[in-house]
Amino acid sequence: MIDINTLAVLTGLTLLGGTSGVLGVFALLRRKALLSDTLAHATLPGICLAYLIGGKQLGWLLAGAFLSGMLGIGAVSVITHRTRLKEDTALALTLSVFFGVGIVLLTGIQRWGDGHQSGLDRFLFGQAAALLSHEVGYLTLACLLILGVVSVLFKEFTLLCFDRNYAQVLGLPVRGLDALLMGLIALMVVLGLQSAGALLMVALMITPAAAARLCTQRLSRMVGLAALFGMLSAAGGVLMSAVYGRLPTGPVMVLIASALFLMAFLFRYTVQGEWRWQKP
Amino acid sequence: MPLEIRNLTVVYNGKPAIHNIALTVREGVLMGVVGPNGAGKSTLLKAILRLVPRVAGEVWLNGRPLDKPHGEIAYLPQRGSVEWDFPVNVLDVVLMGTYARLPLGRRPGKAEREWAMECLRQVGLEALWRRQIGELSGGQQQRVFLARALAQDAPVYLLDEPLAGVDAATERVIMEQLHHLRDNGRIVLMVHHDLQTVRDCFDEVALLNEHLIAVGKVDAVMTRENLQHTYGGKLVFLQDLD
Repeated sequence: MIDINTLAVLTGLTLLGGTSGVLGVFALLRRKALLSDTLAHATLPGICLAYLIGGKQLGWLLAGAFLSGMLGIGAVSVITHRTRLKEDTALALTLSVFFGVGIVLLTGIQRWGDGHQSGLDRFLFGQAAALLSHEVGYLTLACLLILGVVSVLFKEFTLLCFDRNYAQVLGLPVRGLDALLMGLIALMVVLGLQSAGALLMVALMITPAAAARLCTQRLSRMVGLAALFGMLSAAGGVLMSAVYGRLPTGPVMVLIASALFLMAFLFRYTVQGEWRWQKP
Repeated sequence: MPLEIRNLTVVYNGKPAIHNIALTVREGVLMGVVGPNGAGKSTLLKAILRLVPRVAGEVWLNGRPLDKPHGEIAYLPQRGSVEWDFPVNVLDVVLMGTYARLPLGRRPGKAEREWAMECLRQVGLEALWRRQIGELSGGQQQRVFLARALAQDAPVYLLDEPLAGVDAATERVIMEQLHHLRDNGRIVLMVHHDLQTVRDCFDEVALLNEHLIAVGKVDAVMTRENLQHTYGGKLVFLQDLD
């Protein structure tokens, strides 16, 4: 029932889920959850434009997604720093404008272009089964790269999230580290586009990290748990969508991640005896 | 070699926060920075550290311009400037003081952990090293951050109101450690809010209210005239400070 290609997809995406959980920890602690979500939504027009300009090769489409996502981040930064508007407004504006443009382009391509042949709708909700094995290879390499960077810069990223001013006083390149972290998040989002989709990729980063945060007060354990939760979610999503056929992978992954979050929540507030409803 | 602050000016929203501050702190001196609320005391420390942009001025250390600090200055920020809910324990926080000496990518090892424990011992918190930092009392948190500054083992210490709102035991520990640093030839500059204790705490004092009003030995600076100049009419003299 499970062929070689499914097995490759399963392995690759389990790694993707784990990596996304690890990176999610830093996105959450640096309070970049909403910014990441805006970035993910902002990838859509890039995918469509890349398709219109240069065809349907995956690497090309993802490059478009990455550029467009970074443009979205840039827009948030400009609105926040150059106008009197605050960050939440900038995020809401950017997310809806980029996503609106993306949907218009996508609908246009499907109506007037080569119709449903484009396969672009898989970037909305994710379709892991559509991954080819060489694509899984690139995915795996990119995930290992992200994990490598995070493990080398673990103490720097931790200090950046905990106390940015102190990091600067110690002479750490805080702007560079911030940009690098955001770049890794963008890369992660782009990697997950095809399997989890633009709408839900960020849930696959943040939900495992949030569940892990409820379970522990130690950063190292939080990272481990987030990786585990991310892997379970991704693997579960791939298996369910393989078994039941044509189930979109992204939503299933996110449902599993949310179930894990709910369990962590109940664990925290019952087993650990935390009955109070105020902030612990 | 002294810490020299030359003509430092910082502007917030078009209004000067500190204006043309020139100040020299020598090694082995514990200097207080005193002035009313909004006088720019915290801004002065942040401008030295480049945490806020300078409009003009330079900072020199050991006869060389210090453009951006790389661990030469240990900084104890005001309480409330970090996230207390963060998933780190007391020892993790103190270990951050050693990061200045570790190259990018190297994690603290056994030597760093032992040194961090030693710094915790100096502030009397070695027994609490496993606690999550949010579980500590305000005074204990302040001591943890002092231990982090000690772990940095820097030639210069800048402290922003370390005694604000702490218990008597913490106040004693902090002053003990600062005197110890001073006696070891460090440069210590501390923002302070309580005029009553200036004489007990410092060797020298700088009176600040946007401008530097006066600086020097405590007795020479803490005159009624200087204080009135610094605080305007707001200060009520309960006793003659003379």
